[in-house]
Amino acid sequence: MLAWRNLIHDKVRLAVTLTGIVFAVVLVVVEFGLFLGFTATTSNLIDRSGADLWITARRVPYIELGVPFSERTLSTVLTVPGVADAEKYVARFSSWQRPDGRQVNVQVVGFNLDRGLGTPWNVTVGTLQDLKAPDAVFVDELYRDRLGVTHLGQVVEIRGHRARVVGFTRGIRAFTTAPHVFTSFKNAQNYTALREDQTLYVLVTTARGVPVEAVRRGLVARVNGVDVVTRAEFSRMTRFYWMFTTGAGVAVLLAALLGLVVGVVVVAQTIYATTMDHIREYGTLKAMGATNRFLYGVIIQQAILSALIGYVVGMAASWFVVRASEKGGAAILLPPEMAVGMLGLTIVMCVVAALVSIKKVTGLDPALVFKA
Amino acid sequence: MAKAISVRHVTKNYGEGHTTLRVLDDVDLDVDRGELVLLMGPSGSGKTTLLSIIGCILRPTSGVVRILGREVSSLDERDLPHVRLEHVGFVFQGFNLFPALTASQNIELVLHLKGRSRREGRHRAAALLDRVGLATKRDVLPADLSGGQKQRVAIARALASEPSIILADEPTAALDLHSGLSVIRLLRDLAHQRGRAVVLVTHDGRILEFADRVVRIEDGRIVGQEDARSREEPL
Repeated sequence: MLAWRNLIHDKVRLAVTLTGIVFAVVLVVVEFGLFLGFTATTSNLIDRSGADLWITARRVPYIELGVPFSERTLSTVLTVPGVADAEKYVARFSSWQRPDGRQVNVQVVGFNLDRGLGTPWNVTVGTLQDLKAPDAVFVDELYRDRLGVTHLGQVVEIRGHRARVVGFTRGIRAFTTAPHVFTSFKNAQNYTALREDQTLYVLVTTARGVPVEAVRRGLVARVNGVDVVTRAEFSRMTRFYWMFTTGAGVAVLLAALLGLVVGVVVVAQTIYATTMDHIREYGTLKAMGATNRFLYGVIIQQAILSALIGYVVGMAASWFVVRASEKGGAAILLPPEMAVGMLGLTIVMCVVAALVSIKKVTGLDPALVFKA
Repeated sequence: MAKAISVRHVTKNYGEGHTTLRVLDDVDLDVDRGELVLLMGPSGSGKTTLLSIIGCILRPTSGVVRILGREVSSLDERDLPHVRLEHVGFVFQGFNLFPALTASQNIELVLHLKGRSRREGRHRAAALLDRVGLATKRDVLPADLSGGQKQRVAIARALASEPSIILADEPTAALDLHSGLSVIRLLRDLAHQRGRAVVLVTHDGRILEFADRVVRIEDGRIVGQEDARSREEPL
């Protein structure tokens, strides 16, 4: 009763407390959401490929640095026991010429239209079959302006070859400055100067019930001159390269950690000030015969109530920020695990801050209660 | 019968070594049930420190304090809240009411600490507010009460646990003459009619005539006691 009434009695103090907590929640969610968004963006082509295994040229460190190898590898791969399906795949930088003549770097993604491996997701306009035309491409709505695409059917040039926009995806971000352009494997070979007998990757799915590791061992034994990595490994390698080797991710990670520190400090200050506002009342309670345990209970209840209200409002505000980011250049992710973790973090931050101020209460100072 | 309060050779020091400050020096004091005692003296003379030691808020550096015959000065820190809850009621100069709670809830809180049910607490709070003349103010927040009314709620709260001892620190200092007299009469009745031992720290000369005994403290020592019971009862 006392905790709740203390909390809601002084509306201004409540507003100040909640503002602090909400600010901290939004700050931490946005900073960590940005980090997650950046991380996920670097490897989204791999994570969404549908392949269990990726076959690459030797020592390819990340997806953007694919090295061509013979497409005849595919036929060998298909003979390995446990391989359910395999397809050639391209992800390579090229040059897009806008209608106004300006050149834009793009990453051409080529895949087999009939197999479902490495295909784009979130297709909003057009179907994969539309890509069967020799010059058909999909681009993402996010990059229409950058690519100078004003309408469906617009004709542009990629590395001097005609290309026609026949569909759009939504929310497929590129980590680099080069937007993805999805097209058939055959077109991609033309757009990326890849020889007809070459591929950059072979994507493999394993048969149901066959361990991925067993298939990998079989592929390593039977296919020469390539590396075989699991989807998770290749994803991790790509993320690691972009996030840590380039330093870009370190900056985002540091920003996220700084956001966490600032959030914790703001919440600690806010809750400490709120508790200290009631210090005389807690002293009076103690003089009246309340035990330390009772006082802890009141103060912790108050901290948890503040945390819960602040969390709900903070997450609502964060949700709007996340939604708004979907139309922007930087993705902010808010997965359920992070939402749950944030709830725990908010409660822990509030309770720990309250516990720090409890020390002031448990040592009962007569001056605290007897002075007018 | 044991004295309600018995203080023997109590000394209280603050600090250590060269910076030691002796606030109470070999103080002896007895207070009987049904007695209203005033502690008077200049600021810094040790009145509030003595009140804090009697109320088990502070521990003496040396000496013995007994409440209803039980030695409390050597009790473990964890046992003191129980002594305060069962035997001591405090009335503060600044009222120290919980601003977020109504008059009734301020009293119910003490009963909650004692483990009483909410229903029982509500009934008892109503009876106590009735006794201090505030039956109609049950659901009023402290901010909407006058100074005198707040102090009467504070007295009702001090009585909630039915303590044998009431300790009041300057209870009339923040009140006008009329309210101050009303409060001191209430405290006197608690002593004389309900058998409580009431100890008041005060600078207020207006209430001298209500006291059974006036104890004067200077520089941490009791320098005089005046038994006022022989005086004519004030109007």
